[in-house]
Amino acid sequence: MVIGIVYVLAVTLFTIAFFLTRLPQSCSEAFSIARQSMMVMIDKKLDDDAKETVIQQAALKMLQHVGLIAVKSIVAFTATIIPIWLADVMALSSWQSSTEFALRWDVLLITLIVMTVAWVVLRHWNNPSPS
Amino acid sequence: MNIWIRNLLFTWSIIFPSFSYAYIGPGTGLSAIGSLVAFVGAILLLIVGFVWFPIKRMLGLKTKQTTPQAETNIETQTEQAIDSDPEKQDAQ
Repeated sequence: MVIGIVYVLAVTLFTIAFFLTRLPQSCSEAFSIARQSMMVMIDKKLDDDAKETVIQQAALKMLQHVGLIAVKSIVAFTATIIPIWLADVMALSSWQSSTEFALRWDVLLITLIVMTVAWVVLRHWNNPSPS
Repeated sequence: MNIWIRNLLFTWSIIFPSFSYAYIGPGTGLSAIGSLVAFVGAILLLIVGFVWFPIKRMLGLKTKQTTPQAETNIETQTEQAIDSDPEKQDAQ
């Protein structure tokens, strides 16, 4: 029972941190910069000087995104670990039993289904289709 | 595989669940792929932007200049590139 509550807390905190840090948007921006840089490289209308400037700026921007994604990932994983660590410190459930419960494939499957359904419902709720 | 064996294995795995130590969830997977793409992309762009182009200029391998304006803003440059995207032109 306690392990289940700890697990639900960990998943909830991870989800909140994941979306509050806008991690998906950062990843999407990184993909976008990579794609745009590729298009600049193959653009025959631009000369080498222009391409060099653009690629240098894109490289620095990409480096910035590497750092951003790393920091955001650390924040999200720290948020996940906090309830598991607290439960271990308070002797409610050990670290090993919590992580083993979280890695059970049936738990993972149920979590995936619940999260997918929640995501679809929230998305539909935020952007209702005109009818 | 025989359907009976498959059902038996499925039932057995439900009754005796094992641990998926190698599991990577969608969130973790996205951040892992994103950081990998950003890191590899940054390295490649750094090499191209700060090594390849200066060496190319030094060796005099410069291609012919067709556009005089060398905009320093990546947004304007990439907008030009996206405008020349055949997919976008088809959509228009």
